[in-house]
Amino acid sequence: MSPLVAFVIRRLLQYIPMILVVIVVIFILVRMAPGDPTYILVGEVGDESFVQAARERLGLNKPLHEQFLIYILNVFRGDLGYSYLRSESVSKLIIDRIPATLILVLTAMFISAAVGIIIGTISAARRGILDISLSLLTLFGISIPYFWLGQMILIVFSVYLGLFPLGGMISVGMDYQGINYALDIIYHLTLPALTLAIFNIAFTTKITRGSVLEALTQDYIITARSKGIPERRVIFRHALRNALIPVVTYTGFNTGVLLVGAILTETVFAWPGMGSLLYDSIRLRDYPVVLGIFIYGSIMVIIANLIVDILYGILDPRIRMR
Amino acid sequence: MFSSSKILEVSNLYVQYLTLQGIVKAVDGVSFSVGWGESFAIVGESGSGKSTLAFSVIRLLPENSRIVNGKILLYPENIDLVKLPEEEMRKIRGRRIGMIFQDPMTFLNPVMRIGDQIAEAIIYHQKCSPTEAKRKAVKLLEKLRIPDASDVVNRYPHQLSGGMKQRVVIAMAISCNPQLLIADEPTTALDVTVQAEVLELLKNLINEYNMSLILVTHDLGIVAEICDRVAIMYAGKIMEIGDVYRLYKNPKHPYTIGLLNAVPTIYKSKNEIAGIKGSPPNLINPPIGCRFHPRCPYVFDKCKIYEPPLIEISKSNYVACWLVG
Ligand SMILES: Nc1ncnc2c1ncn2[C@@H]1O[C@H](COP(=O)(O)OP(=O)(O)O)[C@@H](O)[C@H]1O
Ligand code: SF4
Ligand SMILES: [Mg+2]
Repeated sequence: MSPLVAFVIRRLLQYIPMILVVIVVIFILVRMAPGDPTYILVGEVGDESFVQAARERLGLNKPLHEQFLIYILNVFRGDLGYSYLRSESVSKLIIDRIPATLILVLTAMFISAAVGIIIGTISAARRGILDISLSLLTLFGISIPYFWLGQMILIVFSVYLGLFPLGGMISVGMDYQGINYALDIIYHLTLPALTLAIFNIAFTTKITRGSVLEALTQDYIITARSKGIPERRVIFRHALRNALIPVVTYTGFNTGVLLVGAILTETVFAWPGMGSLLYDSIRLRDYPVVLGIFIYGSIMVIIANLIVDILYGILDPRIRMR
Repeated sequence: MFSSSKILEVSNLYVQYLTLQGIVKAVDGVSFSVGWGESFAIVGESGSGKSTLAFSVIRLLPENSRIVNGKILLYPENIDLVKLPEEEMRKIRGRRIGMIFQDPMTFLNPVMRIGDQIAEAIIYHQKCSPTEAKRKAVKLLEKLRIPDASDVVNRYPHQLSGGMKQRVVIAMAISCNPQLLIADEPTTALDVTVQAEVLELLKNLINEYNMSLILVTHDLGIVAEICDRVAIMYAGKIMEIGDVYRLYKNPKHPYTIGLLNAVPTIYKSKNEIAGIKGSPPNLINPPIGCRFHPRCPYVFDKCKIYEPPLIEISKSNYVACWLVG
């Protein structure tokens, strides 16, 4: 087995207890929330025997710990159950939504990494007015809530200026093919991706700036300058290259935060991903779907962390995968 | 040394650091010159301003520093490096003046291959292609007697021993054939066993390429091996300058005498060094009069009030002490 494969497997095994904890916590949280799905199913004024029958069908009449045990065993069999409301398996529902969320989150991640790293590095290299205004902007970016920001962006760019669609992922009824299909998605993707990216741009900028400033105090920077190479190269090739390690770590660890941001962003922009599915499912108390999404979300975060660990070894030759 | 064959002349240089505690007068009116092909040592205890002086010459001082006064003239053009715009200074670094640093551990970029670190100066100064530069890097490492040079260029610093790393630093410094090499404590961070090797290598290189050398060290013991002339520095000032031979045989300044007594010989073990009592002063408020007076065994009244000037006692031999001259 190659060391990389062995490393990945070992890491995945280490994550199993973590997933268990996630399931327990989410199970408890979901069930503690007020509201009863049976009423949503049968309506508030349903016949009491009718409600009782629905309860039994969903297994909600059993004691909570029993429900939990049944659920856990099913999860390890790969069965996340059926949605209460939609006649589909939870896995199918979620898997259908994953591509949309991945496109949104990865685009936002890419935009924020590219923009954040460039602005962060420049602001570290030339301190002064630019630096102060960037810090203020960063603070601003970090403090605005997604929900509000998304709505403002939607109102200004779609409603008033009419530059972008009001929501969704494709133009309904157009049936584009090939390149036009891709362009249509990009057209719909722009605003939600920017909304989701802004917070992250701000944070990546801040982290990159601090990390580059720190790298610039290191002795090897003096060596680089002593060679008479252009300052541009000193900053990007020597300082930034070393500073990237914490930036990558941050970007990976931040996947969870981005996924949470995606819930709100997808809801505002009617983006058909896991986030809007989660929002609807919580609203309608569709417990199996809510739990399923959290499990899939945790797995995504774990995969992101794995990628970070692998990138680590590439970025820093001193780290050998063990 | 004829004055017409100078490569570098430092005159009346003042360098300060701005700190929260006050202004550190790290170099306080220093003058000396280095001839073509000459090896010049700057010796003194830690904290006497040697590194500050060395970094001033190649203009790589920390941000909280400032050159307050003085000239650093580079010959034959007679350029004043103090006034040179940064863009011009960059063309001098690496190409005209090379620098070797104290700790190869921290002065090499940990995430860049050895070969790339050596090649980059060559690419910029000699307008080489990267492959050509890399080939030259291998040649340089071979020159520095690094085994498996063509393999070492692809390694990272942490994969080399301290002595090997310092050879890499030397290779980087000489990669563009500079006329002047500045070495700031080049062997201090190394194992005693490899110190002599690295020093020998340095000596052969400067002879072979006819480079001038400014060697900064706190160890008078290594100076005799490699240098022609020595400046003894204390508390930001030069106390004595002289030919190595004269200075060893016949030291004039009480501080020089103290330093020489501190050099361990085969007769004296390290534990019984008859050094100088006390420690160098704080350079925010250095002593008035002769800066060495609080520690000088020969101190008298005049020393505590008036500062002794650096006077020429014979051709290219200078001393700053009221007892001499
Ligand atoms: N970056 C700095 N900021 C403030 N003071 C400094 C700095 N670097 C050196 N100094 C001070 O300047 C004086 C001379 O230091 P240095 O040139 O490093 O001496 P040496 O190389 O002889 O040990 C010391 O008192 C030291 O504390
Ligand atoms: S001037 Fe006075 S204090 Fe200074 S070294 Fe000479 S004798 Fe000592
Ligand atoms: Mg020093």
